[in-house]
Amino acid sequence: MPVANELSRPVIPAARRLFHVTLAVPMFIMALSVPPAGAAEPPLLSEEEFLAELPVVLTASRLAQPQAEAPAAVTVIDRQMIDASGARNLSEVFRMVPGFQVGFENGHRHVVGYHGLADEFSRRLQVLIDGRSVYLPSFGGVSWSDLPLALDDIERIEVIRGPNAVTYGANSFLAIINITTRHSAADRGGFVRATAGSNGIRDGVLRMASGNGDVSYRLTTGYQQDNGYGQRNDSRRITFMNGRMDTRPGERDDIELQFGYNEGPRGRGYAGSLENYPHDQEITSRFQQIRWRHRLDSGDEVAAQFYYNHHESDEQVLSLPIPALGGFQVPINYDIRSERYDAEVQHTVGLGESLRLVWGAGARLDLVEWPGFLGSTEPLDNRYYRLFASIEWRATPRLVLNAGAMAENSAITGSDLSPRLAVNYQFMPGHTLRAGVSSATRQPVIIEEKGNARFCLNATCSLFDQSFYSSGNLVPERILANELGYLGRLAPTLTLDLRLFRDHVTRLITGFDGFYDDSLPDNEATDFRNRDKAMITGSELQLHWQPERNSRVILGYANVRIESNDLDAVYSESAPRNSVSLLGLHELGDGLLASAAFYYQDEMRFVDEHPIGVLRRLDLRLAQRFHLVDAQGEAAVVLQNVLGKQVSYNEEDSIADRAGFLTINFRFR
Amino acid sequence: MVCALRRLIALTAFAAVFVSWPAAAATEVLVVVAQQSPAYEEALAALRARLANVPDKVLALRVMTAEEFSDSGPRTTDRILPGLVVTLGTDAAATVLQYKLPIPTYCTFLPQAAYAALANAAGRERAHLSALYLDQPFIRQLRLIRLALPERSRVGMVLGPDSRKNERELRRIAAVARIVLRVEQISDEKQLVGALHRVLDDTDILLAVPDALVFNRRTAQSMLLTTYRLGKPVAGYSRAYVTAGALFAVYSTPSQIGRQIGEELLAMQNKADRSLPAAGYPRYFSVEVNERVAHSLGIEPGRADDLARQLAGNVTEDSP
Repeated sequence: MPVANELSRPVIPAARRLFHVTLAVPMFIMALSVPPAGAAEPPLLSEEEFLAELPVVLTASRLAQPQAEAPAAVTVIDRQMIDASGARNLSEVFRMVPGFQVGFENGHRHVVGYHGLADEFSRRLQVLIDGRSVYLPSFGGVSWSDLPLALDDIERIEVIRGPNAVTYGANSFLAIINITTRHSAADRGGFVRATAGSNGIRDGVLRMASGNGDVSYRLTTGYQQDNGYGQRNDSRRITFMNGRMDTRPGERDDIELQFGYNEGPRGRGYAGSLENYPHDQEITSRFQQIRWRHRLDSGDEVAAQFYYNHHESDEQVLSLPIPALGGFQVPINYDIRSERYDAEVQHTVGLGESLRLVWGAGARLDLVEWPGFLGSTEPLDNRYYRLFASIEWRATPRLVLNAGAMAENSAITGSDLSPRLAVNYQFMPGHTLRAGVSSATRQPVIIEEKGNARFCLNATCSLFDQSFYSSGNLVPERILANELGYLGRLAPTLTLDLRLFRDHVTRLITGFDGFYDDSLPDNEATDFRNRDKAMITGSELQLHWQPERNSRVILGYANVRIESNDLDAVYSESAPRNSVSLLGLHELGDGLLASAAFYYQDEMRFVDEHPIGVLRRLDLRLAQRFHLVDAQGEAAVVLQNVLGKQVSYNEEDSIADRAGFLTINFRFR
Repeated sequence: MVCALRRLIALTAFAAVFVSWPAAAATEVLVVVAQQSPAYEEALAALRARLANVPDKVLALRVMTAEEFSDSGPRTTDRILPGLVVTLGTDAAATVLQYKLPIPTYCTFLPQAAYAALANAAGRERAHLSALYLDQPFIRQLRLIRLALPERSRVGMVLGPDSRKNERELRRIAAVARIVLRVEQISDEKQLVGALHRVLDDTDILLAVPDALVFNRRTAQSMLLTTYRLGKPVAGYSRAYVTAGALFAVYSTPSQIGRQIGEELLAMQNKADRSLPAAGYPRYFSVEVNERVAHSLGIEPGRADDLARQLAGNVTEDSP
């Protein structure tokens, strides 16, 4: 494909971008133009306040399930844990979750996997931020560096270990990461953070939050920079901004509006390579989202949301002259643009005291424009519809049954059904046993179904290299997960979460070197087939001890065994047999907080990669809180990987060294 | 004009009555209620029951509504010569106190904040004034939190124009109880949701106290929804709050108040100077727990009657 054509950007996306920007601006103007409330003569407080009946606000259908009655194992990562972990990247906090692996392929491509099966695009996890899926429809998985989100904006993260398509939608396959950002009313005033450290670490966050009455809003902007692994071209410079507005137009309604934007160059390529020499990839990622919640008279609730995700990577390379091709410069077009429009409606109905129904429907449109890899200059689309219903039945105060199903239809793969059933039995106060069966699908991503990447090796393209050629007709991967769980409060300050699992994954979509129908001698290209299956069995443990508010110890352990019919053990060695995470935090007094995180994992290798040896990682953090005039401040020093060099993703060029940084933040009214 | 004239007549009449108050006769107690309501009926029934137990009937009750009191009250009392006026509720107290009668007036069944405002306005007649509040002493509420949730020692409060007057006192009591108290002050109910988010950021439970402007029946829904979504429980101040979604509340029922009024009146009779008891909080109270909310939040506060019994175990601490 001629390079010149690709350099002139098409007009339509620019117009669309303008449209989205214009959508985001009015919501902040709205927020700023709230009239001040008038002062009124205060009436005398009446005894009626103590006597009057109130409508039941927390009706049966609005009460959330306690963890002990949830149909799955859940690990909660709260603000204190995020801070104490010393994480500078969102992806890093998942090391604290039993069964998770975190590897950095390079400084900006982070891999977060659960129970293995992950290559550099971990496609079998669902990741939601405030209900918005950030799973990329192009190559799958999540581009963690490209999320327009500051760690400081996160309220909490729930990790659901196991599939749960009924509640979290398509691709809620091996696990679900559910991130909740802070309500815009939670941080009135300003917040500023500056971070500097080794390896070019320079970060900054600035947040302003305000509001009046039923309208509150927050605007966060930030910058993040580092040199990646240092010895290769994998630096990144991230500029991001996000905004959130929460309004309550009436007693019964809550509306939440959000937008976000992330852009900047990410280093790619290798010194010495002719076609993939060091260069930058320009990322633009953004979204808009609206969520609406409406309370009905009956105590039931209706919720609706719509969001638009846009992810774009601009990366066109003209190779250096290649002697073997007579000095021809191969044009390589890595440009990708993917978009997702998603709408969902959900209705929660209380059917008496002991039965609750949640049902709803959703529709989604994915558009992927990836000319270099899909063999088409036009965007390819996929339409996807889902219908879901689940019931929670408290058969007795001690016995809870959760049952549900999701039906989905994809233009590519047709219709599928994913049911789920779980029984929780509290055999003693504070001690619950759980047994569950759950299934889910993973829809093939566009590169798997429609990959067609051809690189011209001469001017007329009569000589070319076909690197991807999908034969198509893929069906979704399927997981059938069985689990037994125990959740117990062993002491007022000590909880234990145990889980035994047996996940049967079938129709695994595997990339392999296939032969496509072409007359050229080199007719080998990567194809994708529903070729493999895997049986993942093992156990997980999480122990949480919190003797004091600012003293906690959280231990995680996982034992994972994968059996597969795979070739070269690509799947069966993709998870460590044993892994341990240990987080300890303690307030030493006078606002001085110390924390340490230790991680251990047995040998493993990411799919199609070289093995990673036994990993031992220790991160340390010491923070001091202080007051400065009217501001609350915190200064922290973080030392990562203090035990020395660690292979993070593969032993060739993703080896993490010690790193350290100093971060200081101020919060002011 | 009419009001001022009435007040003048009443004052003139009562000046004479008060001076010549006979000490030996059965004391006439005029009970003024805002209007007929099941709650007042319940309190009056308990009050009568308490007085009925006394063999020597030294107190004669007469009940009228605030409206009747305004219309004919001063003249009626002129004839009957009451020794004491007992008001039930804020409106009744406000009605009676606006006449600035020089008769001992025991304001009951009303929030402390309302009484403080009324007593302040009553000015120099304060000597003849006292009250039995409807709300609970702060220390009792903190003790309930301590008993029910021993590991949750950080309490958040949002105070409005009414409730903030006690802030210094609240902080002092919290410090004594070794409870970490975080307070957000607001002056408008529109600021409530934001204040809740801020105050609950580093606290374990919200203690709701009534405030005419910011914490009341209108704002109950936002308050309960916001705190619940933040995963934090609410300690409410009435049984209705618990039904609506608060985790628990300590409160006094109308009959518990009625019973105490009776006891206070009898105690007065036994005193040589028949002085009013000091203004104070209810002696009798109940605890209610919302089991479903507790369950959903994964909290085990214990049974309501056990908590009430344990709270009552140490009454001396409850004096304000």
